[in-house]
Amino acid sequence: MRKGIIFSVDAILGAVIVITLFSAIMVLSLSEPNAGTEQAILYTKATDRALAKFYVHGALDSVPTAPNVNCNDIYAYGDKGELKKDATGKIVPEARGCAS
Amino acid sequence: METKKFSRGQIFSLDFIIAMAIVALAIGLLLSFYQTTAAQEKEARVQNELNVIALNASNQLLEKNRCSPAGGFAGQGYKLFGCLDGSKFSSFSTSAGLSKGSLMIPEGFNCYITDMEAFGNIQILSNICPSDTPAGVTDVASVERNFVGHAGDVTKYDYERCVAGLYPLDCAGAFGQKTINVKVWKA
Repeated sequence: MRKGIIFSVDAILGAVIVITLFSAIMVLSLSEPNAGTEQAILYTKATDRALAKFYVHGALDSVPTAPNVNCNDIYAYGDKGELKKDATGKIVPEARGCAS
Repeated sequence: METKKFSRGQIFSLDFIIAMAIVALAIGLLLSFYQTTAAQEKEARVQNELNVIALNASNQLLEKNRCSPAGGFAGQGYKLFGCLDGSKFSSFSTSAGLSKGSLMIPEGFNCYITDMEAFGNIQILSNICPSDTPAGVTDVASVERNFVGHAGDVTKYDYERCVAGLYPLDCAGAFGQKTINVKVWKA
């Protein structure tokens, strides 16, 4: 053995093969062959519950008079009729309108 | 004097024997893993098939008897998903041509459907799904579906006031919450 060499090339190669083999086994063990169908069932159950809640528990606080829009900046008229920024990032009924 | 490399009577070196033992162990491990994986995949395939059939049957049951919007409400593009019309279900469950095929359950599979909440876990559609899972059957798929029930077409008045929480008395009066359970297994 030369100075400074702890493991031979053969030993390192052997260790790499063993680690690769066990890694492959671990990865294959983690796979879930049922995952797709179980996901579909969970999705269906979640949809069912959401729909039932929509009908029975009153999903909305009130029936909106107009669709809501998300405005970046909202402007309002001031006392002298000038236009000034009223609020930022506020959800308002579409009827009110927003500058951007 | 020349040094002897091997002892007398020794055929294999100790290194070779240890290497062979490790190889045998590794092959055994791989075969064991292969067998386990193959069995798991086979079981998963069977369970997946049953799950899909049960889910599809429950979808068919709910969609074929879905509530319809009443009168002018029907022409406004509303589709009442998740609502089962009790009147339609009565006609469906007693119709002459009703079979397991009506719920897209293939031949060779058995089913058992119960209404879990409305009347306290009673069997429904016993004409096509007559008996519960026999003892000894281990691969069974069971899908539980929640929905609301309504007798007859739904008026826009009921629909809007109910979803807005404004129904005069109790929304459950117009839309009762129900649960069915569909079990499927291979005959």
